[in-house]
Amino acid sequence: MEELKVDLTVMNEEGLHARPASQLVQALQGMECQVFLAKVDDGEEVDAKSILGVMMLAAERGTKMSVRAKGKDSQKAIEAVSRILSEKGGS
Amino acid sequence: MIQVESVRQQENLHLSVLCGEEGLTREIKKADLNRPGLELAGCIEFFDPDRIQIFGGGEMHFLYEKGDDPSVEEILAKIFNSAVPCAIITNDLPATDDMIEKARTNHVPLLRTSLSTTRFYKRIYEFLEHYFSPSTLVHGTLVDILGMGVLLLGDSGVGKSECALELVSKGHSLVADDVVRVVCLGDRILNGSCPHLIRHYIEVRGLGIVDLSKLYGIRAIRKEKSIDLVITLQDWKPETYVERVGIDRQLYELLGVELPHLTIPVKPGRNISTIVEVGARDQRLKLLGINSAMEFNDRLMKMTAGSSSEMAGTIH
Repeated sequence: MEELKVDLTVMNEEGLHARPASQLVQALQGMECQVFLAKVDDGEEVDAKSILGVMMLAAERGTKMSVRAKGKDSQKAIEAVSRILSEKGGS
Repeated sequence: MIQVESVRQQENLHLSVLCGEEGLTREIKKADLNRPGLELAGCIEFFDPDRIQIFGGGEMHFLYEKGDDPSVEEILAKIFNSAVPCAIITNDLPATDDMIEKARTNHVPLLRTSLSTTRFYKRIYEFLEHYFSPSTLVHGTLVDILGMGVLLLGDSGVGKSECALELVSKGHSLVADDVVRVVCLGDRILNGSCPHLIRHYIEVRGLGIVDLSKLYGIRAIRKEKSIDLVITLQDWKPETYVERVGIDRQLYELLGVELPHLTIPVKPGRNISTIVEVGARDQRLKLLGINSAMEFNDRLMKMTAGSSSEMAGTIH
């Protein structure tokens, strides 16, 4: 099964709060692959399709994150996560 | 990382600090404890300085009598001049002047509890075990159904949260939605709780994030619960295998512990929360030694055996 993994940095001014978290979950919604998100520092993964899971990470700006996608659409999922985490907007 | 300060704050340990407060930031590196009787008696070569040192009645009475002996003094100095996180005296016994002085000069916290050694051992170990036991985050929802901790698993969007919500409105309690912290205690019990930040919250598609403790009151939530049963919700497909009788036991392994496991196919029109509740009730019966599927099968086998002997009778 296809599996991809990348490390990214949260660029959003206010970190991964409700809005970017819901964008992230929304973007991954229809994809078949499983996507996991973790802070590089502690390595504990949460399901990136779970809004509570993503928000629980309480990732602030500058936090290094690792994203792992497994299954069909993995490439698309990684791209979507990279795009949302690297957006700078504070909203 | 856990510091001695966290241990001191535990109310059920009844601890007070005698001296060495500045050392309360010392890190506790393992859950193991040591009673330094062997060391005080002269055998220091197996001493493990990472352990909390517990001076019980035996050690203290030894020190009251033999504490002035230079060889004992030397050993006590070695114990306090090591990386020990702290030393704790039990039974509210007085510390010797020598202990206080050595704790002070080495900045090792010296604490005292009113509890007996055995009781204190049990309580502090239970507390420390939570920090040092294997743990993991599970993507699932944990509910308490009639005292049974039921962990609901399944792909995102299969309806775990909605099922939990229905169970809560039927009177059961939620422990954690979507993210469950699971700790393995004593190699056999899996304890589930909710990460602090999202405690009491649940995400319901279409509504967003809601606070169950405020909507349903305190009975709707539980801080932690041991996990007794795992139920996987699975999108129904005609070709998937579905248990129809319930004689074969399925198991789910988590942190090295095997738990009874049920797989429930999800299909529009099926009331999943009722099925989950019945699954929990049935599992509870099994724990009491009553296995409905087996009993039914036994009844069937008796009947078939009975009719075959009747048939045998007619032949002869």
